[in-house]
Amino acid sequence: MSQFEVEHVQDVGDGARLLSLRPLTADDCFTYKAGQYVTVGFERFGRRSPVRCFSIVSSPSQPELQIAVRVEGKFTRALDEIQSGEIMYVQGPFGDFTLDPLYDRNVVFMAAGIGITPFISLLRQVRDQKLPCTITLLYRTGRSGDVLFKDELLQLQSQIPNFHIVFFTGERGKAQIPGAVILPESITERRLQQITAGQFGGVSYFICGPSGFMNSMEKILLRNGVRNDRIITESFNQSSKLSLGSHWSAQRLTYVFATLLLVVGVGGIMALDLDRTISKQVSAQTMNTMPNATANNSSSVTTDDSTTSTTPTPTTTTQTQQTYYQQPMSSVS
Amino acid sequence: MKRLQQQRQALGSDCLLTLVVDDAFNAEPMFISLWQQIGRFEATFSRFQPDSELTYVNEQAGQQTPVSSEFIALVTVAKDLAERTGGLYNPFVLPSLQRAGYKGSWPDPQAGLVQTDFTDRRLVPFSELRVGSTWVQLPTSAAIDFGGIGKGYLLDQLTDWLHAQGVDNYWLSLGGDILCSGNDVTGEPWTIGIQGVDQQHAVGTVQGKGGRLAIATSGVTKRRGPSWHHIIDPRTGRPADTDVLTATIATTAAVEADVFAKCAVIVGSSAAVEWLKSHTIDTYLVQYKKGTDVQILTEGNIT
Repeated sequence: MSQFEVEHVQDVGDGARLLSLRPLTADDCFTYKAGQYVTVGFERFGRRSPVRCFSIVSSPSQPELQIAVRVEGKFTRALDEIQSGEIMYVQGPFGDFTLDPLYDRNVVFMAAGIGITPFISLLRQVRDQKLPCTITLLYRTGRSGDVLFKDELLQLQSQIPNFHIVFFTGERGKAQIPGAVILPESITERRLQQITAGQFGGVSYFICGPSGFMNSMEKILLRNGVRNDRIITESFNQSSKLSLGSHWSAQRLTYVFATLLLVVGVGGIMALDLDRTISKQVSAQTMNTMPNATANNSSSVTTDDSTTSTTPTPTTTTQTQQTYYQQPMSSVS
Repeated sequence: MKRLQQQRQALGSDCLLTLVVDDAFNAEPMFISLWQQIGRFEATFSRFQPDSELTYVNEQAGQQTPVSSEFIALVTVAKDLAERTGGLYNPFVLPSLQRAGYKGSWPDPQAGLVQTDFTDRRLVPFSELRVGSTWVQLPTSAAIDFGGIGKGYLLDQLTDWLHAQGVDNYWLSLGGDILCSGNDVTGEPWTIGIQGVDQQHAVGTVQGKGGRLAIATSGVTKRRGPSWHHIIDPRTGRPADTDVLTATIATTAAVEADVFAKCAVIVGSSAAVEWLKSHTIDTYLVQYKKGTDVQILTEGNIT
């Protein structure tokens, strides 16, 4: 586990904070890919906290490691109090929510709530490495104030060619994001068909957000003939991924099986007492290595209802909207 | 009804999309989709991007190369136009174009990348291209480029898509190639200007009739020297030696307008009218040089 020092804390909207971390020593450095996540723990009152999963927000070309935190429970409330100079314990990276520049040329990013965080990392990578991707980001927020990284997203849109954002605010007429396309509705099948021009094939779809949102998006894509291998998801409930990581070493598996055999082989009260004791030990040790990711940076955004459809008028126009009308003129092309 | 317009840089030029819709809310996803389709096309067919499918096909010249269905569709159109123009349009002019100095994208044509430099190859007849249902095979020494038809072809694709979406009133401009349909927000048909050789003022206009109208202008006015421009004559492999400064064609298919305008430039003013008529083009405006004057040949619905 690497040790990082909190270098900087910054508000990124809707009560979320961006923590910039620097490795304490050269040995604490590790390489990662944009879109991956890490587990993070810290100390409070001399005791080590459990760890939780957080998507990496920074791009690999940045010197610091960044994660975003929004207060949702005990852990994030404690983490929210972290100040510059404090030490955090970081392990990773994990996950396959990454771009393959050769394969993922046409990409649709679908995010909801705090699920935007890995996309910030991916977009920074696309910008920094000038990857020739055509990207559309569909960002489902709860209300206009929930747009995390709003300023950076708009800046990225101006910096990355062929990158377009559509904000789905889900609340009629209240969104105000100058220079952005805002649809006050949910991400519906009809909208997706429009935005992709009905050409669902040959496009990679990255989805990150609450499970309800991810399920509804995945169903729409599959219904429209998108191949499974073209749908890349990142659930905040990542315990299964972690359990397949290096923590499940042969030694640990042997320990678990031996414990189970012992439990089965011993009868009576002694066996039950022993069983209880071992279970507590396993539980305690597992808690130290397998974060209960369900309580981490999950979004407060409610489940996206893919069947909801509204037809209000747009509240703003895109940044490319003309302030004056240009007449058509055929010129040397 | 509302008229909405968006502008962006794409395909190495200014692109303008104008839609007339009754529901502005629904127009936003359409704009997004149109820009996405344009971006996708550029990523696939750009000769300036080292990892485009087009560059990949050029790198694989001499071998049967699996390609996308989009590539097959475009190369099929290119082959058809090469035959219809008797070879005056030839997408194998890329080595000649690059030797003429056009290695990079406008406005910096000399700033090409090594990976996309095919100046060591040669111009070959387009009939030497082999096309299968899922693959193409370029002659070993050739390199292909769809710069001559790309914008027109894409305009046709975009307009087909818009009609499928139920949008009938719009005009789209990709770097000066225009395709319009239906009427303006006033209910009047679109009026398209034709740019003069001064690249500022219109020398004529074409009035739409409510249907589909494509207008493309080709010319040598973007040259950077007395005989250095980007329209290659496939018969010589050199920039066309022509007195035509610009040729504007109006027809129903943008890809045809694009190609025939270039052919009119190549054949010169003395042969342009006959050549266009023989290819059933009846609306055109040709600006050509006569001494120090600029003369205009025009026919059809141009005022």
